[in-house]
Amino acid sequence: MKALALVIFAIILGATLLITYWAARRTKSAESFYAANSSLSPVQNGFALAGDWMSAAAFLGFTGLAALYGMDGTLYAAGALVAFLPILMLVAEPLRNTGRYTLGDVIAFRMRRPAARLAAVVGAVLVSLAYLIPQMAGGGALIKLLLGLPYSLSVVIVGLGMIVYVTFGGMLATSWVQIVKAVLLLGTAALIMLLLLARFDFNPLALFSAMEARYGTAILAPGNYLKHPLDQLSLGLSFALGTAGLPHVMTRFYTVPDARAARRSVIWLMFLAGSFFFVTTLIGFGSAVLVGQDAIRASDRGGNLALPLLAQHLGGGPDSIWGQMLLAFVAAVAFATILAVVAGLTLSTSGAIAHDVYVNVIRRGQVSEAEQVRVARWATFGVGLVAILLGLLAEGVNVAVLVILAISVAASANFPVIVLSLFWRRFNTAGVIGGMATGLVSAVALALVGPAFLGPAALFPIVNPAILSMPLGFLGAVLGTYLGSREADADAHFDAVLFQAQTGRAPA
Amino acid sequence: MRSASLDPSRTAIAVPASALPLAPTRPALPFGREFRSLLDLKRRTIGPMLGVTLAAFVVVLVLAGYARPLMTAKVAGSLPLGYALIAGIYGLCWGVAVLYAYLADARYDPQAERAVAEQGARP
Repeated sequence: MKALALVIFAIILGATLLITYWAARRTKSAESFYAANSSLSPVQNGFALAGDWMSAAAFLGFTGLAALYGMDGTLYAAGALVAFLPILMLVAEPLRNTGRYTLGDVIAFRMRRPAARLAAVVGAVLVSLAYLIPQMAGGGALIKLLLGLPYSLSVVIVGLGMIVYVTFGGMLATSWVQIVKAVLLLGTAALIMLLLLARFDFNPLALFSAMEARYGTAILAPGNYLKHPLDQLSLGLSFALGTAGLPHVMTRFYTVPDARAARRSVIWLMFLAGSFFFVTTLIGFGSAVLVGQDAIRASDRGGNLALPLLAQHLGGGPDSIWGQMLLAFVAAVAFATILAVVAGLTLSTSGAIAHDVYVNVIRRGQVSEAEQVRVARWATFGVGLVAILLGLLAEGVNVAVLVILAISVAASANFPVIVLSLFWRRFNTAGVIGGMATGLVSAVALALVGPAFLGPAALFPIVNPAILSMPLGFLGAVLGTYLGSREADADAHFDAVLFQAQTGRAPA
Repeated sequence: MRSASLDPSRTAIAVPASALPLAPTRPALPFGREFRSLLDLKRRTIGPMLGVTLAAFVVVLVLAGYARPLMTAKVAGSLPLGYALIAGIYGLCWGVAVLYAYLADARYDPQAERAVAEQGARP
């Protein structure tokens, strides 16, 4: 299997490098580097968004959770879809209408203060790095498990691939790598669903019966993974609202020409990724019934190999050529998934550093187009090296904790600031800093004293702290606003921001 | 006559431009009727659509936490109520998203164009 998987890995890597070569020839300006010249169609950006959002955590994690813990995994996946309704109705279009390359652009456009932009940068970089490390560590562990390569080498391969895509191809290469990966992933999921349902007379309910017959009624109940009664609510809310604070997802709206295209991208995403999330429960159940929970746990304690093992089983088992082919193909898709997602995360992180900090704060926008691209490439290179280093250090660390941290900070720090910037006239720079600081500190502190870090000795009983840290983030933003001095210019500018956010035009 | 003391570049202590408060770009806009209609239309339609969907999701999450036996009650063959409700959330999300897209194309965008024409906006 390993030789076969290596060949498929090489093909995918070669194809993505060809895309990067093609994109590099078209990436000459800051606009092309950060936003692919805003040239993607809604369908293309919808697929790229879906590629971004169907990360390894979704592809492997949701199916594994459903296989081992039943309904809690299903709720996880549903939250990932619900997340895009607030984005569709409240965030995507105003963001496209008021920003340029980064979330910091939106905050700075509204507040017109470097301090506000810097606060946005802190939130963006922290969330992106917290999201990047588990992707790197997960990628390293997956390649080690499936190909037998050492963990450190696997992390370096993922990191170098990502550095090459983003440094040379910018957003255009990253977008097309996401599109290719989304097509591969959705095609794989469709094939597995077809083969799986064929085993159950194309009756999805038969999978529920089989699951119950093998593992008892309890496996279909909630609470097998998330023990505290408020865990589901906290996790669901952080997903539903925190996604709007994830920089690598939000910056994708700058790759389309206008707000209408941004809106249509989200609709595409909701049907593409939503369909996938919908079937993760059935895939998980199929794996638990056909492969067995013990075999899944024996391969990976967290259940992350439920889908690859099911693919192998449906192909005829480990001794058949089709079984090996399917397993190798799924492994290669997982590899492409990780590469694509880390590329998107790296691009949004380097954008926050190069575009927000260097170009707009340090140089106050007095930077030539060529220098902007050069600085962006160096920032990408630097972020890539840091990601590799952190990925190497993260071996053995519970990566799920970092994912919780990332989404909690996004929900508690970034989301309140974005929403209040766009919709509250009185909001000011002190509010941005207050909201960002309170949301960030409370999310990190509560996660550190929660069950994810302290286990049974936890001081805060809920795994995902967003249920408390998100209201605290809003509270910090409101208190900061009232304690800070009123900014007449930002106040007056609000009407212009509101008009532009809603219509896409600046008032004359 | 222009007062020298109002010109920062001519004060005794040089004040860097970055330290000066920014002048308002423009006074608060007197929004026209069309733009106010757009905001009102969005408030009346987006509020209920988003509110109902998020409330439904929260109800399912609360039931999953506090009514676990109820969530395992069978509703169709071996399908537990919890999974049926989650499937309903998917349907609701997709339905509301399509409805929003329709409203945006048919109502919001034309209204936004009227607001732009009325306000005399620039690209």
